[in-house]
Amino acid sequence: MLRLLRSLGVVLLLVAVAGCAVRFVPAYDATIEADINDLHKKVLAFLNKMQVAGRSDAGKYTSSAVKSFYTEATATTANLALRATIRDTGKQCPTETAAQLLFGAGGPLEAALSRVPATAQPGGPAPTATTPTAQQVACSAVNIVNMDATLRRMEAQHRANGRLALTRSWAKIFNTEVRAALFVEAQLKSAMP
Amino acid sequence: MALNLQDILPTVIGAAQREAGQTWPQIRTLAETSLRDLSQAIVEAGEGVISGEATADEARVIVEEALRAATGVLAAAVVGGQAAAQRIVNAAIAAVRQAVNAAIGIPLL
Repeated sequence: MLRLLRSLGVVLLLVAVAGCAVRFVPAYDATIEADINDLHKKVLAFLNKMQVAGRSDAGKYTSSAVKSFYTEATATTANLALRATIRDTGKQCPTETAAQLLFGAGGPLEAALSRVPATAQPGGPAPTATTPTAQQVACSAVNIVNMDATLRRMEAQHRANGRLALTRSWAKIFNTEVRAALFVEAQLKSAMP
Repeated sequence: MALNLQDILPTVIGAAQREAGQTWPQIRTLAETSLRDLSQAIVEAGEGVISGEATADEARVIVEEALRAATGVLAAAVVGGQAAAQRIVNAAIAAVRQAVNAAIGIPLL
């Protein structure tokens, strides 16, 4: 109780010093939201093209259109990630444990994946979830940083294999990251004083 | 045995709901849609391996990416809680600002 009163006192003191309002989340930036939407359309269009292209030349990593897409898209995500990170510096997002419970070793998805027949997995053991890379950024920036990482991983797969498999899965993952990023932007907008 | 989304999804959403606790109603729509998409992505990756469309390594990358995307959904939920707290505190301050400033005689709030 004493701790709660102290915390409340600190908040009130900060409010008094600040003069008007508290801030727990960074300021909303309309250009970040617009850039996320713009990038989303380009990535989905690209993945649709890759699905149609399949193993034809248009779907190969060596295609100039493919390389051009990755160059532009990763430049956009790098810029977005930088802007999202610097608007809320010095914070870390404590979501690792929760995600691990869902998708990590022994979680429900890994249990389901363990049912894939071993004979149907050329080239290696059954897919298993691994610990995610530690997020060293604020929660408000996590999804934008993830979008950048996802595009780079997708490009690395495309480059290594020559063509991009599982385009629908990539689209669903990118959709999830965009949806969560836009949810964050909507929350920041709604919290503006 | 083939992967079945309907077998996986209730377990995944149940685990997310338990983890989210009291914040679940606030993030339910985002979480359910996202977890359905991520589970579907993993199921399709598994089917891709079975059909020969993809290698196990390619499917494994999808699983790892889905894990990271799930972390992002949880991060978004955290921001939702922080933003709600900011709205509540600032609304409370706004509600008493005029009365407090008038009583003190200076624009404290």
